[in-house]
Parts: sequence; C-alpha cells; structure tokens
Amino acid sequence: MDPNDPERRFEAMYVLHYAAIEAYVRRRTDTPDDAADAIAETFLTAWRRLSALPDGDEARLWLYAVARRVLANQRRGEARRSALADRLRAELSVATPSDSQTGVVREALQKLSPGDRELLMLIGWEGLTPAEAAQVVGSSRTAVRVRLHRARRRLAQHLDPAHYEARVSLLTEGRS
Amino acid sequence: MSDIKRLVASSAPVLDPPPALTAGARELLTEITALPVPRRPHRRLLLPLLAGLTAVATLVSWLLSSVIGGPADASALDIHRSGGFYDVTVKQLFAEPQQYQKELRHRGLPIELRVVPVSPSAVGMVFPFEKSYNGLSEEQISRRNDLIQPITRPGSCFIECTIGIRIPVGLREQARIELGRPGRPGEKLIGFGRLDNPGEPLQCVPFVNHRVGEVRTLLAQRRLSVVRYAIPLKGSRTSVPDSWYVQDGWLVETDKVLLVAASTPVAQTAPTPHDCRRT
Repeated sequence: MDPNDPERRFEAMYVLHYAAIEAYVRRRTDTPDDAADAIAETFLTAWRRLSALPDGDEARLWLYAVARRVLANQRRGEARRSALADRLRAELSVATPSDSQTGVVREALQKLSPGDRELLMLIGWEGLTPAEAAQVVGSSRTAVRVRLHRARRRLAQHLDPAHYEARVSLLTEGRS
Repeated sequence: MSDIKRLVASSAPVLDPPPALTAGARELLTEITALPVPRRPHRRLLLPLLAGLTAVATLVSWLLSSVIGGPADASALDIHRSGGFYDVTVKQLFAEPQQYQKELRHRGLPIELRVVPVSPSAVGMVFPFEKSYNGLSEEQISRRNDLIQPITRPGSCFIECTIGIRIPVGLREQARIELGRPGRPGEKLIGFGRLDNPGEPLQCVPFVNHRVGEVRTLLAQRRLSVVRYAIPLKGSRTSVPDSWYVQDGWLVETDKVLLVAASTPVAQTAPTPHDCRRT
C-alpha cells in the first residue's frame, strides 16, 4: 500500500477522525439532514484540499475548523443540500440534552457571543486544550486565553447563582 | 474557573447512538473518493485546468521567453516586494528544486516549493496550498491580506493563468507551493488538465458526451488505456458499458486515463478550450 496514495491517505484520515467530526456536527445541528450535509461537505472539502490537510492529530483540528465554517454557512442559508450521504442521512439522529438541569447552562451559553460560545464548547464538549481551540478558530494562543477567561466570567454571570453552586457541588461529588 | 469548564462539559448533548463509522459513513467515504479530485488544488486555480486551459504552451513559452529573452540572470524565481506582499513568479521552469528552495530561503520566506508531476496542459502552473484556507470560500481568501494569494495573468489564458504567488510580508507559518512539471513514464500525475486541452492526448478532439466505447477507441489509437471509471456519486469501477456517456476525463499517468462516465449525458459541458476555438 502506498501511503502517499491520495485515496489511502484520505481513507486513513477519515477512519481516524470521522467519529469526532460527526459528534462535533451533531451537537451543533437541529436535524439529521443538516448534520449529514455538514459532515459530507466537511469531508468533501478535505478531499478536495487533501494536499493542505496536515498529518496526525492536527488533521482533526483542521477538520473542526472546516466543519465550523460549513455550519456557519449553513446557518446563513448559504449551504446547498448535498447530493451525498443519503444513507447517512437516514442513520443519523439529533443529539438530545443530557438532562433538564443542563438546559440552564445551555441557555446561559446562548446568551454569549457565537465566538465565545464556540470557544467554551470546543474545550468543554470536544475536550480541546486552549492551544488546540486557538488553532481551530484561527486565533493566537494569547488571544484565546484572554477571550476564554472573559467568556467563562460572562457565562458565570449569566447563570443563576443558586443553580451554579448546586451544579458545581453535584459535579464535585460525582468526581469524588 | 475550572468549575465553569466542568459545567459546560456537563451540558454537552447526548449522542445516541454514539458516533461511529456506520454503513452510511462508509458509503459517504466511497462517494467522496469516487470524485476525481484527489490532491486537487484550490478550485479557482484548477478551474482553468478543468474547464479547458489555454495553452499552457502559452504560459510555458511566456515563462521561457522571460528567461531566453531577458537579462542574463541565473535566478530561478523572481521575488520582489509589492506593498504588504512578496510577489514570487517562476523564471526558470526546469531549474533544480533545490535552486527554488535556496532562493526562497535567501529571502527569508517560509515556503517549501515542491516540483510535482502533472499532465501536459498543467506544466508550469503554480499551486499554493495553505492550511489556513480551511473552509474559506474563494472570495473570502481573496479578501485576506494575511494569506498567500495566487498571481494570475488575465487576458492571455482562457480564464486565468496562475503564474506565481503573493506571500504576505511577515508570514511565519511554513507554507507549501507546488510547481507542475512533466510526468515520467509510470508516474502518477497529481494535477491534470482536461483531456481535450491543448497539449493533452485528445487536444481539441471533442469527447464529452460521446459514448464510452468511442472514446476508448480514440484513446487506444494514442496508446492510452482507461485505468478507472468514476461514476458520479456512485463510486468507481474498472469497466462500464460501452453505451454509457463520457462526462469528463484526465490523464492520470503518462499512459493512463481516468474517465468520468454515466448512463446519461452531462447536461452542461465545459466550454471549448480557447486555442481550439482559434484554429
């Protein structure tokens, strides 16, 4: 097998990162159709720009960045319905809230700017480090650190203090 | 603040079923890799190749004439500053790869230049690849003064010819550009112009929407074989019925061709290459 063969290289990348990209997209879309379109468009972009795709785990961050832009285009109504991924469309389901209490956190997240919200979600939902999140959103690490600090402070302000304390104590108990 | 981080993490929606490489995901992989665009350069740059370039011969002769007719200068690249960019154009198409690298390094430009095999009509073309392009649209890229931009030469090519790149002054991240060179026998080409482009095996011979059997005969007369048929959105095969229609095609090795074929003709065809219309 020639590791430089474009198809082999793409397949290896796809197998390695598909689940991460599907999770990223499903958590941010409202319908299976939108999710399937965004997943298809993200990987299609990767195929078309395979030479620009970095190797190793950097590829995952690159794909997150592509998916992020694809979803932004989708929200602006600029995306077209993909002719691909018919079967995937039927398989996918929409992500559901983890429990009723987390609805409060998500409501607070919705009050943040899209950029702040995405940064918090990349770290909290995708498990990225601030440096990795900086790569995805195309900012410097310093800028992201500052922005992250402010975003967390704003989120705390939007949360009801009693709820915040209760949730933190629940999470703390859960860890012990 | 780590409490906030945990709170956000706990609010992640539940994915049921969890993400997995299902049959649908596998099918998507097949659909995508069946599309004949592996290692495709930036779409705006490729458009002239796919739509029917003008003669890269025009470009090559322009590039070469600048060497032959120009001042005696051994440099392979022309690099000069223009506003917030360094404009880099190729002066010598067949210089040693190390020579390009040496000249870029000498100017402190973090560019890796690779010379790659391409089909005849793409020889001499320059393809920039930049990680930061990500999912940006072509228009968004053209508005960014922090990204490498293609230099095109309007007017003489069918749509545009890419003859160099503009590198933002102060660019730190290592970037890569590729320069097309002729392929060697048995070598896989990684950039292609359409089969009827000037310089390509079916130069100025109409083949789009012709039957597969007919096109295969044309290719056999030129000692070319079809290595694979790409069926739009349905994967690829090593053979298809002779009665199917050819929708597109490229030279993928010096003696092998990839055809896009389907049971129906394609509705819109790319325009005739400029140089073919002149003759």
